[in-house]
Amino acid sequence: MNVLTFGPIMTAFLVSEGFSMSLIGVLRGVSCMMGLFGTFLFKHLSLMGMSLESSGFWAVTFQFTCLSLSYFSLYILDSLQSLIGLIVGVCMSRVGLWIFDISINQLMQISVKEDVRGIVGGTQNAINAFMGVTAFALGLIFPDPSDFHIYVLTGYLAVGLAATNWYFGVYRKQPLPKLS
Amino acid sequence: MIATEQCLGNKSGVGERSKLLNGSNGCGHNEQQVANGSLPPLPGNECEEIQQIRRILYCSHAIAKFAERAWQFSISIFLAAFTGYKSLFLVSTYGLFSGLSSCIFGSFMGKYVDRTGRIYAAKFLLLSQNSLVILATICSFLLLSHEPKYFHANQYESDSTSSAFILWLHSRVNNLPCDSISIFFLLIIHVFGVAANLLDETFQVAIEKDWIVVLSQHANNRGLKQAKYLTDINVMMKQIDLSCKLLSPTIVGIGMAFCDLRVVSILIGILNLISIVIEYISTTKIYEKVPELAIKIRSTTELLPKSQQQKERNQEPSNNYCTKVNGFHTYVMQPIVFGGISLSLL
Repeated sequence: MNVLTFGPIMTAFLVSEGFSMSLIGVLRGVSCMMGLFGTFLFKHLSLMGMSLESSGFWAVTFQFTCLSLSYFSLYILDSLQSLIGLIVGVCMSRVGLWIFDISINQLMQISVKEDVRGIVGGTQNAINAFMGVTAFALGLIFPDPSDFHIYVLTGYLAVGLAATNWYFGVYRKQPLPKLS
Repeated sequence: MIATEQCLGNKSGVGERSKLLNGSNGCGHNEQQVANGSLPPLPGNECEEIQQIRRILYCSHAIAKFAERAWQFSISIFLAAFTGYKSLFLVSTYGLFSGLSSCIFGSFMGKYVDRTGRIYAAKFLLLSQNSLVILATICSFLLLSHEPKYFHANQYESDSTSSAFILWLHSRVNNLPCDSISIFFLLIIHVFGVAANLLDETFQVAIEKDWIVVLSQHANNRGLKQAKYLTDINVMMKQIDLSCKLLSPTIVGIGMAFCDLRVVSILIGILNLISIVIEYISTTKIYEKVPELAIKIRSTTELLPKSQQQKERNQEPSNNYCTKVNGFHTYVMQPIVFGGISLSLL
C-alpha cells in the first residue's frame, strides 16, 4: 500500500524533482541498511525479553513518528529542506517496518494452526498484493508528480491506521500463548 | 555468491553471541530443564546437526533470493528495453498482472500447500518457478536479439475515420513492438514471469510459515528453546532477504553497465539454473534430516475414507472465487487477523 518507500512511484517523483539515478540508488541502499539495522535491533529487543506484541507496537509507532516528519516537511516552503525531511523520514521509518515485519511473521508462525498455514499465508499475500495494486491505481488517478502530497498523505494515514489496528487488535488483547 | 558469503559471516557472529548468552553449553539449553535433570545434556553431534540444518536453510534461501531479486530487477529493465526505453507500458502491465495474479490466486495456491505433502509441494514449487524463469530469460534473449517493428501512433493520425477513443488507444501503445514474433514472445514473458512470481511467493509461504515452524519444533524436541530458535531463524532470513535486496540489483546493474543486455539475460538464466540445483539439494537434505517434516496434519476432510472424501469434495464449492472467499474466511478466523491487516497497510 505504502508509496513511502523507495519504490517506483517515489523514484519517479524524485527523478521529476531533479535527483540523479545514482543518488536514488544510494538512498535505496541507505534504506536497506536501516532495515538491516532494524533486524539487529529486533534481536536485541527479543533477547531483552520484549514480547512480540509490544515490539510490533513500538515498531509501528516508530514508523508513524518518522513518517510524521516526512508528512509535515511537505509544508516547509524551502523545497530542498522539505525533500530532505521527506527522505530522512522515509529512511528512518524502515527500521520500524522491518521490526514490525518480523514480529507479525513470528506471531503468525506461533498462532496459526498447522492445517491452515498455507491458506493464511496465501491470503496474507493476496491482501498485500491488493493494497499494492491499489497504490498503483492511485498512480493512474493522480499521475502528475505535483500531486505527490496525496500519496504521502495516504501512506501516512495508512500507517496510522495500522498502528491503531495493532494497538486495539493485538497489543491490548489477550496475549497469545508463549513458546518455551 | 557474495550474498551467501556475507550471510555466513553474519551467521557466525550471531552464533557466538548466543553462545555467550547461554553460558557454557553453547547450545541454547533451557537452563531450568537442565538444572532439574529432566533433560540429558545435548550430545555435541546433535547440536551440530541442528546448526547444520540451519546453515543449509540459509544457503538455499540466500541463493534463491539472490536469483529471484536479480530476475525481478532485470526483467523490468528488459521490458523497458523492448520498447527502446521509450515507453513504460510493458513495465506497468507486467507489474499490474503480477499484483492481480497473487491477489486472485494467492489463497488458492496456499490451499495447495496445505493439501500436499511438504516435500512434494516444495519440489514442485521450486522446480516450476525456476524453470519458468529460465524459459522467460530465453525468451528475453531471443527478443533482445530480434529487430522489432515499432508501432508509431502518428502514422494513424491522418486517418479521419478513427474515433477519439481509438486515437487514445493508439497513443497508449505508442513505441511498442508490433510484429507478431515480438507480441508472441512478450505474451510468453508476461505469462511465465507472472506465474513464476506467484509460485515463488507460494514457496516462500511454505518455507517461512510452515517449514521453519516445524524446524523449531524439531529443535524444541531436542531441548532447545523454541522461541529463541524461531527468532534466530526469522532474523537471519530477513537479513539474507534485505542483503539480497541491496546487493542483487547493484551487481546486476554493474553487469548491465559493462555487458550487453543479451549477455545479462543468459547470466540470469544460468544463475537460476544454479539456484534450482542448490535449492533442490538443500530442500531434500533438510527433509531427510528433520523427520518431523514428514508428519503433516491436514484438514479433517483429508483424514476421511476415499469415498467420503470424494463426497465432501463434490459438495465443496470448487471454483476459484469460492476458494478465495473460503480462504478469506479462514484468514478472518485467525486470532492474529488484525496484525495481518496492519502489515498489509504498511
